[in-house]
This record gives sequence, C-alpha cells and structure tokens, in this order.
Amino acid sequence: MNQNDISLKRLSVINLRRHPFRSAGLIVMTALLAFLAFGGSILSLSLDRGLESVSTRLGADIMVVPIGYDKEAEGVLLRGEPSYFYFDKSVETQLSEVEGVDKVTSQFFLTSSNQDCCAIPVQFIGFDPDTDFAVQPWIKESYSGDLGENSIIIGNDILYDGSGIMKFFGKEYKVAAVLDKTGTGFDTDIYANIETVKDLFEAAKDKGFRFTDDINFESSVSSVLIKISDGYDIDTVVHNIRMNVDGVQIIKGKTITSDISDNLSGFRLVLILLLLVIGIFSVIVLIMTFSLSVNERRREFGILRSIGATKGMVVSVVINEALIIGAAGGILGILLAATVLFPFNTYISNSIKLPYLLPDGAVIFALGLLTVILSLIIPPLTAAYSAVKISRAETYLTMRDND
Amino acid sequence: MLIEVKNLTRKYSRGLRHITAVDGVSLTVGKDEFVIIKGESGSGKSTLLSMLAGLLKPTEGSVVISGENLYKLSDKELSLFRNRHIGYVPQGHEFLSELTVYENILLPQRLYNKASGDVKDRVIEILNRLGISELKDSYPSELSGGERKRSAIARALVNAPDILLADEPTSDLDRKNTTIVLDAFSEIAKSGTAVIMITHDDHISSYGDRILNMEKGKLI
Repeated sequence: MNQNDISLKRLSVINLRRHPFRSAGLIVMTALLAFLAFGGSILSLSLDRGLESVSTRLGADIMVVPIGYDKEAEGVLLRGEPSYFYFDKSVETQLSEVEGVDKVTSQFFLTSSNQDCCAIPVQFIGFDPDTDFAVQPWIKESYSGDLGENSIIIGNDILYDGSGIMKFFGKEYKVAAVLDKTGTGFDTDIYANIETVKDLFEAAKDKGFRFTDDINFESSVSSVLIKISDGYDIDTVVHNIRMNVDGVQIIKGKTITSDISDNLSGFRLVLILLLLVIGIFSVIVLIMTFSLSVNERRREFGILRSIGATKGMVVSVVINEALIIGAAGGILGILLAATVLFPFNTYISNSIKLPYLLPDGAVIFALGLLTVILSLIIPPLTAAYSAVKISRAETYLTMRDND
Repeated sequence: MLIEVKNLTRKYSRGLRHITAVDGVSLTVGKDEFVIIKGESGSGKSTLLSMLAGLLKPTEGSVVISGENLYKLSDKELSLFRNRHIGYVPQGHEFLSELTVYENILLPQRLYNKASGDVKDRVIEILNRLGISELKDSYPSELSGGERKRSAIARALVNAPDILLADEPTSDLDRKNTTIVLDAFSEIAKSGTAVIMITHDDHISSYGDRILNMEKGKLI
C-alpha cells in the first residue's frame, strides 16, 4: 500500500471494503435496477422493431388464405413456422374483381426438409414478379437485380456458408442475396420467383416428398395479397370479399400487428410495474442502508471535521461511496442484461413467440450509457439526505454521540 | 494575544431542562503559553474547549484566534482555519480505525494538499519527537493508551498549528505516560505553539504556565 495515497476518496473505498456483504448487497440491488432498466428497454424496443418489421414487410392491406389456415399463415409471418396450404388459383381472379380491391398478387408456399441445408425446415415463398407489390419493394433493399430462375434470396436466420449456392431437394440454387434481419418469421424464409419455386416443387416431387402428391402447381396458390383502392377502408373491402368469395380466410394486415401490439402493451405494463416495484424497494433499501452506515460512522465524520474537513468533504465521502456502488452496480447490471439478451437473442425471440429485432448498436450504446448515468444518480440521491444531515450536525455533539 | 475569548456561553436544552454548560467565560492566551484548565466532570471544560476549536457554536460570545473571529467565518473558511491553525486532540476514539497511524497523522495535511516529500519528513520528525516512530505502520487498535494519545498529538501537530487543544489527554494514562504527554506539551509550547489542555486530574500542578479552574461553566 502506498501510504501517500491517503485521501477522502480512499476513505470511501475503505468503508465499502470494511463491510463487504453490505457493499455487495447494495451493488446487487443497483445491478438489479440497471438490469431491469437496460434489459427491459432493449426487450421493449426489440419487440417494437419486430412489430414495425412485420408491418413493413407484409406490404399488403389484406392477406387471403384457405379457410382454417389463418393461424398457420400468422405463424409463417410472425414466427417463421414453416407451413404449406393451398387453394385454387382462380380465387386470385375472383378477388381481383371485388369492389375496392386495387391490386392482387398470389404467393406459393413450400417447406424444405432439414436434410439439405438447415437444422430446421425452412419456408419457401414464391412470388409472381409481374404482379407482386409486397415482396419486391423491400427485396430491392438487399438485391437490386432481377431475380432470375433458380435464384433465391434468403432470410437472415438461414444457415448459409457464403458459397453462393444452396442445395434443396438435391438441386443447387444460386443465392442472390441475404436479407437484413427483421426479427420476424421473414428471417427464416427463402424468396424466389414463381418459376424457381415451381422447380423446387418438381424437385421435391422427384425426391418423393408426399406433401406435393395431390397438388397441381399450376392451378394452386397459398395466399393472395390485396392492396385496397384509395377511398375504401379495409373493413368494407373485407365485407365485400366475404360476400363474393367463398372458402377463404381473410387476415387484415393491421389485425396481425394490432394483436401483437395488444400483447406488447400488456408486456410493457408488466415490465413497468416490475421496474417500479423493484425500483421503489431498491431506493428504500439504499436509503436505509446509507442512513445506517452514516449513523454508525458519526464519530468518524466528527474526527474528519475536527481536523478541518468541510461539510462538503464529509458529504463527498458518503456520495463517493454511493457513486462507486452505482458505477459497479450499473456496469454489472448492464453486463448481466447483455449476457442474457444478446447471445440468447434467437432463443428469446422463439420463446416469446413475438417478432423481435434488436435495436441498432448506437441505440444499445445510448441505452447502456443512460443506464450507467441513472445508476450513478440514484444511489447518490438516496445517500444525499444522510450525508447532508451528518455534515450539518454540530461536530462536538457528533463526536460525543457514540460515547 | 493569540486567543481572545469573550463572554463565551453555551446553553443546551434537554427536554424541559435548560443547562448552561459554559457561562460567560472570558479568557486570553498568549503565544508559547501552556494553559491547563482543571475541573470536575460536567463542569463545562470540554464544551469550552470544543468552542475554542470551532467545533461547537456558542450561544453567545466570541472566540478570536490570530485575529480571526471563528464564528463569523463560513464553514469553508472555518474548516480551513481549523486545519491550518488549530490542532485538536479529542477525548478517546481519536482515529479512523482502518488507517495506519501514519495515514491518520497525514490525513489533515491531505485534506487540502497533495502529500509531498517534505510532509512525509515532517510526519517522521513528529513521530520521532514523540517517541512513536516505530508505530507508524500500526493500526490504532494495536496501540496502548499512551501510544494512542501521543499519536493523536502527532496528528494535531502535522500542520504546525498556532494552538494545540487537548481534551483530557491524560485521563486514562498511567503516571509514566502522563509524564510523557505533559512533557511533550511543555516542549510544544516552548517551540511556539500555544497549548490548552483540560483535565480533571489534580496531580499535574507541576506543569503548565497557568492553571485555571472551571466550575459550573465558569472559570474561577
């Protein structure tokens, strides 16, 4: 130990060391607050971004699927649960004739087995380049060329070795681009034009996959996406579809996102309540502990005053302790939250079954910084009352209090 | 005069009881003087000493040291003045227990300055002068009563104060250690630092340039 190092700051460190369990308890309490504040904000923002992604990527006002397959369709969109279902392609024409419908485009769904590429089956979505208005606009963000035959664009969560080629049902396909992460079911989808999906369909048939047996590719589609005309509202168009087209299940784009939004509101409320309860509890514990600690050391502060310490110096000894606790707790809480949130990002997304997209690095950094600042403010605030009270006491009386 | 005390009074209230611990004390002490204030427990001598040290605000009266009226100063000014001009030896529990003797002695110097080689030499010189240099790396809990007192005196002297105030410095010491402490005070006074100590011990009349008696808050 360097004896010339003695200073008021060191007195704070010495006191924290003198009561290791109490100090550790205060650090854990602050870490818990930081964990909840940082982790909760990241979680909440990730869900918001996931929801925004769904809304953006869906790209249609209405999605029409075979009757009874609405849950499967939502599973494909939100959670990347591979599924396939078909109805007659003539539905697309019927829908295009419904009053209030501006544009229609169909998609063809196909799932792979896990044998060729992936640890889990993946979803193929085939779109018609001539009529598509939903997929191509955002595909262009990652790939500007025309998606030719036997070319695919893969979602961000698809395991891919970067070779430019992926093999499905024994055939090779060119990977034109990898899409940015969306935090939704779109991340495990593979997009291709309808000709490529037809090729995949035939390859699956050749390989003996039974799910293609009773399906005629040319006359089948999995979903029809609808853009409504200006001047119509979605509910009116939905009503018109119901009146004119049988055997279909109608999914409103906004219903998907509003259902998630309702879930998110509930989740956010629980998070805020949890933060409030633990926050209030932590603040009470911090106030009581600092008060106890300061009272135990009245004589020590009296000695400091007697050798010439100002009131401010006495306050600074206590506040420094609180700052050390805040810094240690804040950083620990952020590290713990980061350890849980980032490596287990995909696991969390799968567990909560909601679209989940981590915020940008800059936002995460800003939240971390904000959490550290909060951690550096809250403990000193809880210690301030005791610190100021002891600094204002008459020194002589303070020194005699413990006699 | 180095110290001029005028009509110093301190009153306390304890419930419905009103106590006048120090009652209109006036006193002057010159440079180089060693003054002993004697009195029984409860006579008000510790209260008087703490007011002289700027540690307890008087109800009435004034304390002027080296021309500064202590209780007219702001907290910052008074604290700095105390640090620079007043050495205070409290009664019992004098130290921060987690610091070594050396660190405790150095602390008053470090409140306003960075430690320098000169200060380090000064601490060693004071420790040598008081015969406790071998204790510098000890912790307060490892010291005997006499060693603690001498260490507390060393701390009070580290900033070369104008005045040394000692609250019952011999109360729990044996005859040998009492003699060591009182000899040290005599030396300190001769070297230019005024010393005021309070005691309830009647057997130290051979020390001090002046012995004052205190009874019921008054100097008699």
